[in-house]
Parts: sequence; C-alpha cells; structure tokens
Amino acid sequence: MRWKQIEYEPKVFALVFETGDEIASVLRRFAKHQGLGGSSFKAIGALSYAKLGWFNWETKKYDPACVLREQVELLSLIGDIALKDGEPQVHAHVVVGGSDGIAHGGHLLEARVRPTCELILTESPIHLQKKLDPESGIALIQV
Amino acid sequence: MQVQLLNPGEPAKQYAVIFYQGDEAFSGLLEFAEKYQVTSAHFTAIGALNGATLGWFDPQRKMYKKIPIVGQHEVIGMSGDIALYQGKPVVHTHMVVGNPDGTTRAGHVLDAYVSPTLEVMVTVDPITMQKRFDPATDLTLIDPALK
Repeated sequence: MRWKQIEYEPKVFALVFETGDEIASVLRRFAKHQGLGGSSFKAIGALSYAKLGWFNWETKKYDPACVLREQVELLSLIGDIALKDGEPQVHAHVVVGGSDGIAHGGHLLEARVRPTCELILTESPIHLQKKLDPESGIALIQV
Repeated sequence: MQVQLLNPGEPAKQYAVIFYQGDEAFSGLLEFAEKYQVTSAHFTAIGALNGATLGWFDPQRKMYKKIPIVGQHEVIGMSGDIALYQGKPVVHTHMVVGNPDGTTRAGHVLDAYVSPTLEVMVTVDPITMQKRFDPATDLTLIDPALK
C-alpha cells in the first residue's frame, strides 16, 4: 500500500492498495502508525477474495455471511476509525459485485486486493472513543 | 446538469452522529440538522439495524413503493445529503442492507431502526443548498441556481 497526504486541515490521506494487500490489516497498521482516532473513509477497487460478516444479535458475534473466492468489484467500502482503550479500531462495511452484477455485502472481515483499491480517508482533529456496550457485547462509539 | 460551489476552501465542519439501539435514524438525522442549523451537508454511514422501510421510486405513480426490511441487517453503506426546502432541512439518503447470507437489498430510506449502532460521519459545508419542488416527479430536487 502506498499513501499520500492530500490535505492538511482537516487531514486527508489517499491510500492506494496493491495486488495481494489485505485491506483490514493494512488499514489497522496505517491507523496505528499515523495515530488516527477520528476518521472516516470510503474506497472503491477490486478484490480477489472477500470474507464478509453479519452481526448475529443472538450470539453477539459476527457470523461469516459469505466468503467469495473470485474476482469481484469492490463497489463500496465505507468505514470509520475510533479509539478503544487508546488503540485505533477500524470499522468498515463493503459491497462487492460479481461477474453477473449480483451484489453481496457485509461487515469487512477480510478483503484481498487485485489489482487496486483507492481509499480516501479524512481525519478529524477531535478523536472518537469507543466503549464496550453490555447490551450488544461490542464496543460502540460514545459521544 | 448544474454545479454549485459549496466550500470555497474554508475548513469544513465534521460531525460524528452516533445512533444507538432503538433509535430511528431518518428522523434522528432530521433532528440533528434542525438542532445544528445544517443547510448543506453530505454523509456516509455504517452500522446495523433491526427493521427498516426502504423505498423504490415509481415514476408512474410518483410515489415510493415500500420495501419492508424485517429483522437484523447490516447497514453496509448509507450515503446522503442535507439541503433546505422552504427554510427547513431535508434529509435524502439511500442505503444498502446486508442479509445473513451476504446478499443485499437497497433503496431510499424512509425509516431505519438502529441495532446496536449506526455511525454517521457528516461533513457540513458553509454554502446552503436549496431544493425546489419538481412537478414532473412531485419530489423536491436540489437546485444550484436557487440562492
């Protein structure tokens, strides 16, 4: 992944992923390295592999909604970054389209880029904090 | 096509509007726009919901056909804008929702009951966007020529 800062107030970054990059883990490393804590981002591109999750309210866990081992368009990736216990947490959802134009979507668990993914991220000066929500069992942004 | 400059280069205001269990997001966004006197904004959001009504615009009937979304779904992507009509903010937003098997449904948002959260990242621009009534569709459309 290569990146460039394209604006300074607020900070805006362009991230360009390359074949083989796994989006979720690369983004987590970038967030940690840059000290991000109040970001939103969107991206488009294409993938060779995607694992999408669906939040199961009964088990309070993400079920693997679908695993796609084929070339798909990354039609939309929307997400945000907030801090939990001082560590940046990346939260992202994706819609992908197969060769027949049918869309699948879910919570981003894993996505392997082929050949590119272009992501624009805006970082706000004020950071967002996440706290564990006992009702859902996951950390939610507190404002 | 018409074009309007929304921000001549000032730092734009950014809001995180976070919804929790049971909140209705469409009326909530309207409430946010009224409370913070938003006259021009765009946003993206992700989260999950339990129950929603999406719409599909039927040009023949000039009405939204309702698409009920029953039960727990991921809000995979929601994007929208806020503009003014007759001095009041109007929220226009679309979403893609994810079924448990990863298939999707999508449409114009009429209502959405959040479960457990919806994270809406809003950029508010300094120059007002105005809407006008469009008799051909019975919708209010953004008109960059209106000041």
